Amino acid sequence: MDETTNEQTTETKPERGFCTGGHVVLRPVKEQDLPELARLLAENPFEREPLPWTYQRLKQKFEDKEKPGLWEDRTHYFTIVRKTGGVVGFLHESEDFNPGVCWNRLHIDEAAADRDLLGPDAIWAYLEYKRRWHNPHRLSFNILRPEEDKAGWLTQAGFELELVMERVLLYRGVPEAECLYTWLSPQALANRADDGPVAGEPGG
Amino acid sequence: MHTIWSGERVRLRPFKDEKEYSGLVDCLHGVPNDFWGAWWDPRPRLAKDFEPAGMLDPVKYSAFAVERLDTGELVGYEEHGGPDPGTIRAWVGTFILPEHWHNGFGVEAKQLCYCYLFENYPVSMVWSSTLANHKRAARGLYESGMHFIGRTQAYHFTDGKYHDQVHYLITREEWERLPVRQVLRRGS
Repeated sequence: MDETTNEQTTETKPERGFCTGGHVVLRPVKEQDLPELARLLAENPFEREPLPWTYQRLKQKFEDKEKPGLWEDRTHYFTIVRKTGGVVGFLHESEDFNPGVCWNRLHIDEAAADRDLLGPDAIWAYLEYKRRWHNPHRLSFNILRPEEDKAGWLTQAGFELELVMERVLLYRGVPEAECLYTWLSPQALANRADDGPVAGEPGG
Repeated sequence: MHTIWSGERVRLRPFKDEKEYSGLVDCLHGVPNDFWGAWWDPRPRLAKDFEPAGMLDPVKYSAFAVERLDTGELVGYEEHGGPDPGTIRAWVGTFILPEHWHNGFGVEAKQLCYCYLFENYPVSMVWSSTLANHKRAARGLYESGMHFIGRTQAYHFTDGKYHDQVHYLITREEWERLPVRQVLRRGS
């Protein structure tokens, strides 16, 4: 309440979450995110296993009696919101059965004019969060080859292209490759086994 | 869609029942794998996996029984996953009981599974992976007709070291040239 005017004020509280960058916050999905999240999930080429997400299906999952929400034991959806409010993307994290290994997907609203600012910021925030609380040894993001902007964001954040798997899925009618960008912890690199080449590999 | 695929050494077929499937998996994974470690699931979970479609579900995790042609013995299983909607890839994995190693059963089981996948699903490639220190498995993938595509580094922890994972795939065009297609028998 504003005492000078005696009118109700609508002060906006800054967004809070699990990880905070310069421009965005990553937090578990809230019910209010679902309509916008459904639209963003539909934009991402990987988010269709086994079926495309719709608002109805997303809401059903969110309210599921046995596994409610979008935060399960090993699979986590983060909503990416601007610090000033407004859903702009999501990050989908899948923990491997190997401790410290995560496979991720990232999406920033294709209509956001400042997505080249938001994308790297979200990746940095996630990386800092993982390093602080989870002691990861390898973190990866799967992107499609045509997603060149994401490749740039990941490279900026210290991820390297590690693997290209050709003809993984149809994207706009064309068979496209999946590219894996990876960050490795210093201890993983220091303790990486030298197993030598395998069959079919140069020198193997 | 045929569910029995025979080559020169082995036959892929559906498991007869849950008992046969769970018994084999329990036998194979009752002790940790030398490379992957513990790969064990409790029997009720295996039964739950088996129940809906006898391990031959077009989309979910699936597995064929691998049977020797000369003796009729069950020697392992060939796991695989068909394409999810929108994707055009499938994957395979092979487990053979140690007493039946070094007979080429795993290589032929993979090749028969490629036939099953490429003949029945709109896939453009089939992939698989193993660990860089598991040379025998990597060689089996290569000998089955797959080619090496790369590594994911420091993936799996064993005995104080992080081992790479190595990846292979076979394209539809490469599969079309495989000799196994000339000897393959469907449905017997």
